[in-house]
Amino acid sequence: MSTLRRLLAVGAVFVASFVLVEHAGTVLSAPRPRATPAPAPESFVKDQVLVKFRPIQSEHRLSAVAVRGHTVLADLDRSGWTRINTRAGQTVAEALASYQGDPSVEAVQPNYVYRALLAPNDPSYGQLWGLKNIGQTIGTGSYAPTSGTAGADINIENAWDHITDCSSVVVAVIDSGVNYNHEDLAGNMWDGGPGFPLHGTDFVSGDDDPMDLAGHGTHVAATIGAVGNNATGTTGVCWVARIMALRVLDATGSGTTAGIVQAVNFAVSHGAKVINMSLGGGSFDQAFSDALNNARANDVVVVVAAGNSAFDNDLPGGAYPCKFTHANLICVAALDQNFSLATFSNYGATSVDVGAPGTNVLSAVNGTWSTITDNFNSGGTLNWTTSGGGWAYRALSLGGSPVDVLANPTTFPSGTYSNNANQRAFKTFTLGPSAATLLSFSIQFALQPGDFLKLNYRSSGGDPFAGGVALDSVTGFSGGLVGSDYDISACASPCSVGFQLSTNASGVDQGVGIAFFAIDQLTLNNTTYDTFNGTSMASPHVAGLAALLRAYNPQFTYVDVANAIKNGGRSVPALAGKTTSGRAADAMSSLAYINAPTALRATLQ
Amino acid sequence: MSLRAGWIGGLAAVILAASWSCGNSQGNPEPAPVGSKAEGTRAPGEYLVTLAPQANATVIRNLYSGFDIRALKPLGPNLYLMQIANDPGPAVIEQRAKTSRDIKAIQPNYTYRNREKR
Amino acid sequence: MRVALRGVFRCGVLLCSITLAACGGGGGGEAPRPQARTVTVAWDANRETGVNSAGGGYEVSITGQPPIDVPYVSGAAAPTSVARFLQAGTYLVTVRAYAALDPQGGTTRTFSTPSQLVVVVQ
Repeated sequence: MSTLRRLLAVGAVFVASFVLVEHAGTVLSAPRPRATPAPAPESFVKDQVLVKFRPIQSEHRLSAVAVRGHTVLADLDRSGWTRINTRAGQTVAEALASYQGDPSVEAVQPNYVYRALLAPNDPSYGQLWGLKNIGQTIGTGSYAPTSGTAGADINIENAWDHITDCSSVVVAVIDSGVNYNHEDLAGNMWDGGPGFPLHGTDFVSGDDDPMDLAGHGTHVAATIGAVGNNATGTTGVCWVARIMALRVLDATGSGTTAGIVQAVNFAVSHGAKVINMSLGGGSFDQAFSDALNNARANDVVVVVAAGNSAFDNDLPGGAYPCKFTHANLICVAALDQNFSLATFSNYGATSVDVGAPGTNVLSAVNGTWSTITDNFNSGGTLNWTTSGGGWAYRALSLGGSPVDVLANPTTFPSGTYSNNANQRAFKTFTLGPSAATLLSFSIQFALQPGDFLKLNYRSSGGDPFAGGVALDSVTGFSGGLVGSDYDISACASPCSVGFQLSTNASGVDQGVGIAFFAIDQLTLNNTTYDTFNGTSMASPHVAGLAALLRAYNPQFTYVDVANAIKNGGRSVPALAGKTTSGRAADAMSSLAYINAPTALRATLQ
Repeated sequence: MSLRAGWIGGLAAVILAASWSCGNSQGNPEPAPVGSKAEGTRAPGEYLVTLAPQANATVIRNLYSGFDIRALKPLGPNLYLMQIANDPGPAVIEQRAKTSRDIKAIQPNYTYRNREKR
Repeated sequence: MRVALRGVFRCGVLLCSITLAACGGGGGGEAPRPQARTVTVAWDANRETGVNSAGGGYEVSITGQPPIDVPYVSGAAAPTSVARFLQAGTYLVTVRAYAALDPQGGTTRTFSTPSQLVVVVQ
C-alpha cells in the first residue's frame, strides 16, 4: 500500500473512531484520544505503539506510560509523538485500548511498517514495461501500440519486496540455446559441474555446447533471469537465478521431437523444477506427451507459449505442446502494453491458461547480424548464373508494392514450366567469418507430381548441383508465398547458393517464384539487447514467476505453483473466455495466494 | 544492428502471417511442406521408436532394414531415433510396426519452431 | 457410558458432514442423553511459507464461538489443530489459512477461501 493510501486509510479510521465515540454517549470534558482499530499484524511493529501526549510535565508522561507496564523508547522529534514499548504478551490492540479515556493522551496509533518498493538499478529497466508499466514508450518496439496503460504489468515490484533470488530453483530453458557469456546472464547460469561445464547441453549438434546461434533462447532466458540490480542491461523476473541451457532449436529456430524429448528428460534428471519451452508444432506427439508425464511425475512445472497464429487452440489444428492437458503444464498467451490480447496470440478457453506481456519485450540476445540481400537483377536483367534455361528475373507486384522475383518459367506466375527440365540458377556470395550463416527467402510454387524444386549450396563457389550440399527439395503447392530459412554455416566462402527445377515428362504447372532472398551472418557478442514480440516472450515471464514462487515456498508442489499462477492472477477482460483463468500473471497476487486448508477433520474425546 | 530481419519487410511479415493462418485455419488443407523444417510437419525419414521393455535395437534393424537405416540413436530408456534413407511414409512405417510385439510405439519425428512473432 | 465413534470424515473443500454419536449402554428403548464433548479439529498443514512463518497461521470459526486464532509461533509450521469443549449440538467449523502478504503489496493479512466441516455433538 502506498504511503499516501495508508495515510488516507488511517485518517479515515481516525474520523470514524471520533464519530463513533461521540455517538457512544458520555460527554467528556476533553476530547477522547483518537485511536485506530488494530490492523492486520505485521503491518506494524508488534510490541510498540505511538502515543501523542497533550502538553504535560514529562514525569506525568512517564508515569502514564509506566502505570500500563510500558516503557518509553524515544520521542519522535518535535512531532509530539512518543514511541513506546508495550507490555510483554499484550497485543497492539490491547495497548491502544489501554490509552482510551486518558485525558493526558491526544492520540494513539500503531507504529506502522513502511517498505520502499524495490526497483533494480539496471539502466534499461525503464523499458521493461512488462515488469513495470508506467505508460512508457518502448523506443525499439515494433508492435503497435508501443506505449500503454500504467499498471498493466506483472506487479513484480511488490513481489521483489519479498524475494528476488530464485537460485534455489533450476529453470531449464529448452530453446535455441543461451549465450551463457552474455554480460547479463553469465552470473545466473546453472553450474553443470565438470560434466556440463557450459551450463547445459546441445541436442541439435550432439555436443555439450548450448551456445545460442539464433538469439531466441538468450532472449527468453534473460526475461526469466537476467542478473538484476547489477547496473547492467535489463533484469529478469528473478534477479538471481540458475538457468540451465538446453539447445533443441537450430540457428533457424527449428527443432524436432527427438531433441525436445531428450531435453525434457535431461532437465528432469538434472534437477530442474521449472521448464520453459517457447516453441510449438501442430501435431499431437505421444513421445512429447510421455516426456511431460515424466516431468509431472517428478514435480516439474512446464511453461509453454500458446502460439502466434491468432488461432483458437481449442479447435482441431491447435498448437502443441500448449494443447496438451498435463496438470503440470501452463500455457501462456501474449498481452500488449494495454493488457489487450496481442493480435497474433493464440488463445483457448480450455487450452491456454494465463496471459503475460508478449509485445515489445526488451531482453538480451546472442549478438548482431549482418545481412546480404539479393534482388536477382542488374538493370532489370537476371544476374544469376543459369543453365538449361527457364529462369528469369521478374519485377512483380504484391499487394500493390513491387517485388523482385527469381522466376521459372520466365512468364511466372503466368504460363507453365517445361517438361524434362534440368534448369539451374545460382549465385556466389562472399561471406565473412561468422558464428552462424542463415539463408532465407520467400517462395511460391506450384509443381506437379514428379517435378521438384531443389535447393543446394556449395563451398568455394561453382555450380551447387555439381558436388554441392543438398538443402531441400519440394514439390506440390505452397498455397501462397511462404518463408523458408536454412542454416548454411558450413558453406565456406565464396559460397554458391542455387535452385534447380527438375521435371519429368508429364504434367506441368505454374512454376516457382522466389523473393526476399537474404543471407544473414551472426557475430556473437555479450552486450547486445533487442526487442521481440511473441508468445515466446510471454512464456518466460510466467516461468520466472514459477521459479519465484517455488523459491519463496520450498514446500510447493507443481499443483501449488499452477494454482497460485492461475488463481492468483489478475482478471483481465481481454482474457475472459479466451483462457482457463481469465487472468494475467500477477507476481505479488500469486505470492499472496493462499490455498484453502485441506483434510479438515474432527475427533471427539 | 537488429536481429537478422533484413529480408523481413512488412510484406513478407504479412505474407508469412497469412501462410501461418492458412496452415492452421479450421477446414483449410495443410500447406505443402515448405522445407523439411516447417512447423507442423515431420523430419523426412525420421521416426521415434519405443520398444517393449524386453526388446533391444536389433528388433528395429530387422524390421526396417529394407528402408536403408542410416542411423539408430538411443534417446532414452527403450526410445530410439531411426533415420532411414528410403522413407515410404508414416502409414507404411506404422503398419510394419504393428507386426512386432516388441515395438510398443512408433511415430514421426515432428518438427517444432520457436514462438517469436516476426 | 460406552462411547462409540461411528467415523471421522475428512473434508478438504466445501461442506462435509459427520455425525459423531455416543451409543448408550443399558436396556433397549432408552434414548441417549445429550453430552458435551471435547472436539479436536485438525487439518493438513498448508505449504505456503507465509502461513508457516511470522504473521501467518489459521483462523478457526465454530458456531457460537469467537474466532480462534491459531498463529504461527515457532518451528517448521503453524499449529494445525485446535480443541474446544462443545455442548451437544450441531456446529459449522470453518478453517482459513492466512499470511501477512497483501496482493497490493505490503504485509496486510490475506486469507484463503475456507474449508468447512459440520460437527454434530450428541
